[in-house]
Amino acid sequence: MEYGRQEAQKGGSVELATFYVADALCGMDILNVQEINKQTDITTVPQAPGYVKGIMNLRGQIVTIIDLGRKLGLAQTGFADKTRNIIVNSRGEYIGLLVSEISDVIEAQWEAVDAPPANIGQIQGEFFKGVFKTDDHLIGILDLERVLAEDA
Amino acid sequence: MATSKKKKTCKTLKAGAHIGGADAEKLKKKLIRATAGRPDELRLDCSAATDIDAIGVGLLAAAGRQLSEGGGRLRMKNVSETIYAVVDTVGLGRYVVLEKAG
Amino acid sequence: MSIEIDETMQIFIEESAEHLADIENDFLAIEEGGADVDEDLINKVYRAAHSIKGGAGFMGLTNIQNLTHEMENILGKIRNHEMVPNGEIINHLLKAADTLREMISDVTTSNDVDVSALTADLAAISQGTFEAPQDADSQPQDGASSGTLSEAGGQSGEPDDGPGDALSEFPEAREGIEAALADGKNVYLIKLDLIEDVQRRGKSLMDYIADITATGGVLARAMDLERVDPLSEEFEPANLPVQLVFATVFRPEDIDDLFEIGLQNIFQFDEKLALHPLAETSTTGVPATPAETPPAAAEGPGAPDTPEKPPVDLAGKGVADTSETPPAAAVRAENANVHATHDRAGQAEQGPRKAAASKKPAGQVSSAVEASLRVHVSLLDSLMDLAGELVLGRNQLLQAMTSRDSRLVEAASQRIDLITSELQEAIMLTRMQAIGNVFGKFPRVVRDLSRKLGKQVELVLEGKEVELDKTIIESINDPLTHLVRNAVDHGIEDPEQRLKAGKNAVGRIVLKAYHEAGQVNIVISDDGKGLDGDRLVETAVSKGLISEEQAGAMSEKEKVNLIFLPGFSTAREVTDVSGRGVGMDVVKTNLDKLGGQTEIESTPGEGTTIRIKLPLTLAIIPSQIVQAGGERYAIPQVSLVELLRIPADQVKNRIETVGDAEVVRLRGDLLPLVRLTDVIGVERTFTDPEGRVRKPDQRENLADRRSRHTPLHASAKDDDRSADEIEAHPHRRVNPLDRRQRAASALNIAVVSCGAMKYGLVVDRLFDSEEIVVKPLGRHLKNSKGYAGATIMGDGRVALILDVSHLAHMARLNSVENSERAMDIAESAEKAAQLKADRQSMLIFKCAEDEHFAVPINLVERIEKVEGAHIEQVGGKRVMQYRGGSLPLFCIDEVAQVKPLADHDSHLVIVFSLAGRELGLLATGPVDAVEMAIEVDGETLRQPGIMGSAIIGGHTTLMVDVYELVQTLNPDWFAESEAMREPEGTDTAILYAEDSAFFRSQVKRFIEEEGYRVIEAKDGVVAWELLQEHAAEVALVATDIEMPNMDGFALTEKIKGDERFAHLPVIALTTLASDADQARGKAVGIDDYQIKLDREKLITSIRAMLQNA
Repeated sequence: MEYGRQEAQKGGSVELATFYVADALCGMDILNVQEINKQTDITTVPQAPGYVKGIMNLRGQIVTIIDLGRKLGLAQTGFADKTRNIIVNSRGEYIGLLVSEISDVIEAQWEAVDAPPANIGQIQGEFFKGVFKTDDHLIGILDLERVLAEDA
Repeated sequence: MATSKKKKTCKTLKAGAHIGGADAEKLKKKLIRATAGRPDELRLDCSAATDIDAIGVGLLAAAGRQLSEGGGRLRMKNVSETIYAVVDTVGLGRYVVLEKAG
Repeated sequence: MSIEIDETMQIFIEESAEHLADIENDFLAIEEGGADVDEDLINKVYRAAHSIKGGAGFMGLTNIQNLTHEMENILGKIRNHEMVPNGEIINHLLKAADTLREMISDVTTSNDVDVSALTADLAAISQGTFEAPQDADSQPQDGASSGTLSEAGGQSGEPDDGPGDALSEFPEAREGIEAALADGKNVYLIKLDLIEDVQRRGKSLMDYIADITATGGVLARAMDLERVDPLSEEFEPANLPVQLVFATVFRPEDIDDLFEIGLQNIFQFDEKLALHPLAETSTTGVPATPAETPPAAAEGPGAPDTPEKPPVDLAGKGVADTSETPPAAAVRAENANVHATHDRAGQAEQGPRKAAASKKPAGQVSSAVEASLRVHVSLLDSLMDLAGELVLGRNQLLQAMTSRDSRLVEAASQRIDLITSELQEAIMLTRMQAIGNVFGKFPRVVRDLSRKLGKQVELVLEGKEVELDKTIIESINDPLTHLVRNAVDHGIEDPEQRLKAGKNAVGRIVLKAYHEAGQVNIVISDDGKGLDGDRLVETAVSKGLISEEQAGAMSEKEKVNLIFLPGFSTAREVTDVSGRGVGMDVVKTNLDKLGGQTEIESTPGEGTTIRIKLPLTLAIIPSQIVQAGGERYAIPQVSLVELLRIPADQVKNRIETVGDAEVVRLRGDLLPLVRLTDVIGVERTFTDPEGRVRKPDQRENLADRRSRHTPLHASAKDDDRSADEIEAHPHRRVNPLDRRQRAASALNIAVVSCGAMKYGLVVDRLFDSEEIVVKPLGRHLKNSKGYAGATIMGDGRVALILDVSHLAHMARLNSVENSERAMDIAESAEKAAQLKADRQSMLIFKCAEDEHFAVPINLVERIEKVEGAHIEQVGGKRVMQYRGGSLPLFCIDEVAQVKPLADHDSHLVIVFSLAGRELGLLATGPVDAVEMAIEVDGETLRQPGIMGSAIIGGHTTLMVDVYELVQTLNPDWFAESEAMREPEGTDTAILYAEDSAFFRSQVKRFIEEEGYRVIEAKDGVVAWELLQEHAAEVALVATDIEMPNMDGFALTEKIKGDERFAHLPVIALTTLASDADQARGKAVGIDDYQIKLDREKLITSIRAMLQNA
């Protein structure tokens, strides 16, 4: 309920940082994004949940890197040229989301945002706050807290 | 002198898949707009609704109460079994007319 | 009039908080003094109350004013000896102090608090008209004041309505209720709130309702929109109350599992259709804080003694609200609220100020942020100085870098290194706080609890000044509180029981803290009834926590430690200290998380002692860096016992396998081994020395060599070939470059300890020890056991910090299993040891039919048969014609006390060669050649001619000392060789290493009889030490091969490799000299191989060696 109010206050639109998780184009409010980096020097944590790719040093802080693909129920995100970490801040902690490719920043009007369908590109609808249609794309706006929830 | 019978005003809204949840704001706005005109009956078509949460219940109850105060009522139509079970159990029927689907 | 928090108010709040800080302990001290009033103390408290009253009056804080006024009255009377401070009075005063504290912490609402009852009681006391109600503990004002207080905080959500008249609300339900009751169902009135109890808790409404309807029938329902706002733009329902009349088979104790709304919101219909609340405590339906628990105990330890909230409120956020604490804290920090104390040793007295402790919901774990610290001025000065030094150092470095003079750079970086360490230390010191802060509240806890339980307990505190890092202080609060409460609750007995047991009626609990070995030790001991190890075992077995067999193998200490097993405490025993379940296992887990070690000792009837060891600080710890599976890990120094490196060639010898467990022998103890890579589940790798490339490790066993047998199953024929042999025969199918034999395949073991248990962690590489900064892992990793955090290494990469006790659990090495396993291992090791013992080839024969004898085969030349008729008597001695000469014959019965030779027509003659001549031993057949490891008993049946006995083939077999036999019978036999003896009193000593006591004494005797001095050693290690001690005297070394700790080959290698001793001749004594052994011996420099019991050859060799030296 609260975000609706927030969004409305902003004057009805939001800037979305978009990126690909496997083939699905997802987006999140750019205000959530602390930084995007290419760091691949990730220390694996044996016995960690499957979606945890590892941990990384971000200017002195230990940041958990979550494989966003895995977390959303898709296959593992491999390390490739275009792979990036999106660093977000959740509940006072920096967490990194590993995605396949970064795409453009898109401005979305909240009014044009629809409720998410049951799933987008094989990702469960519950992870999304809504979908936004542009001329060429359908962007699934991620519900960050739901994505980062600690259940598998 | 013939008194013209006041015509019964009736409005219809369609609920989305989620009553409450991500759509709560939208639903609220719709309800506000709809109840503003003080219709005699506001029909909410719930055929597309698959789930409902407490916020949704709250919205409907508030809208229903508002309407009754103005002499009207809120009627939920084509309510699925599962949703019916929920709204009936929590006593929404006090403020809203509940009609099952089919 | 709304109460503003301006600067004056701020000062008032701070000062009042200070006054109230000690008041609790002062009251307790006053109580203890009793009629013997300490005027100074009373005055102190009086003045405190008086100041608060004054300020309150000025500020318009009437409630505070009135309350303190009443307190003043009572204190005045006590001071004038008009009143004796008894328990009752002190109780009230304490209650008043608590209430005052809460009001001070939340001044703006203090006037709304209902203190009428409390004030009235206090007034009555001071006027002498007070009458204690029946139940001393359910003071009505408790319910009222705390009830309203909790409401003021908006904590409990539900207003304290009673059930009301449910039937008037649901008249239509009457029939249904009656029917359900008749049906044996339970019928409840449920008051729930869809928003608060469902939505806000993240539950799905549909699922929630579905569960309810599946569990029972809703007989009536009512939604109440009275308090819900009308529909509007801002509409955001905060409440949506719903009442249900619900019939179900669920019983009262389970009903809230379904709804999860708290028992105060559930009422049950009885057969008369009257409603009863299910909540146990007060009738107001709001959980009142019981008098005996420290008032703020429900939420956290802070409130009673450390009013932190006033400063938080200073930030201008009137009502203390947990969720607002973090920003408030930030604001505080900016306000630079570091209080410098000039007088006292600062930290001890005031202690940490805890934020918003008392209004926290019970479920939330201590996010109680410490918003500020008290720091001694001198420490701040040091920090300033160090900062200055650091600046200078940096300037120096910058300059040095531009000059490109590496020496300057080095000097500068050294300086910076030094300053950094000092800075680090100084900063850590600012975080240190006295444990007295935590201890401080225990007297009250003990007093209240013991009163409640009718026991008498004295609490002794020692070491209040011991300092710990503040994060540790915060975290030990709960566990310590639980332990103290436990001691009062379960430890100390009733006064009558104690007297009956001959103890003092007053029980004693000692809570002591002290520094030792770089750690803080906390000891809680009581003189109560102690723990009965056997009963604990029973409980554990009946709960399926351990098996019967495990139980049988446990030591007393282990039995007592069962109390820490997860699942041990039953729900009923769990006393709610901070609103969440606490059991001994949780206590231990919490302490473990801090890097602490917990031990418990108990003597039934006498008492229990719990010892806790904690690191001084969490933040930076020295640790050992290791590598496994390609990644680096850190093992905290505090858990590390020692580092062990086993060279490749010793791996097979020192590593033993029992079933699937591997162990290493370490100074006589068996240490279980765990491979780090296995435990955490990564692929084992090794560094190929050839290419320095890491490859997956194909070895199955640590001790894997070509032979798949372990020492348990090895037999002499399975002897492995040595590296030399492989090189010599490269055409064999084994790969000559097989890295198994290479030094890089040595084993690196970090021996770690967790609590009483030690084990060895096998890693790929050992690096240096480093001081590392501990950084916490993110929330997604908090369930990953085995890690205590992470750190950033010098190269910027992250290394995980291992939690050795969790690793032990993961490797299933908890101590109960360990002792069972230890027993297994000990047994098998013994068998293995036997097998490793020297193997002898013996000739078994008889003299009398039923007496068995044995003689080393090596000494035997041949065996002949002689007809009795051919034996001649010459000069009193028997001889026979043999190979063109006379062969002297003798028999054991001529020397030793044994049964005479069996009377047969023919006999066997065992021919020996001694001193260059042959002689024959008469014997009775059958003879047998036996090769086995035997334990020779050199004592029991010892006599001239018999060196000892052994059990061979089930018979007691006497070991014949041929030399001695002949010596006794015919001393002249050796006359010649005697001439060659060394003169007595020689300096020459021979170092003799031999693990078997039997052989050692035999051979030593041989050698000593030749006139040499023998220095004996029972294994290679001891031999080496003795060699160094007696370096000047030792002229020759004789050594056994198979010895524990260091075998003959290793000893020789060491000797030959050391220039002090390389010149010494080394004779290896063995029982079986295989080719392989000989080759190996030559390789390490053994000068000669001799058979142990071949006395002659040995002596000859010794003489030869010594002559040549």
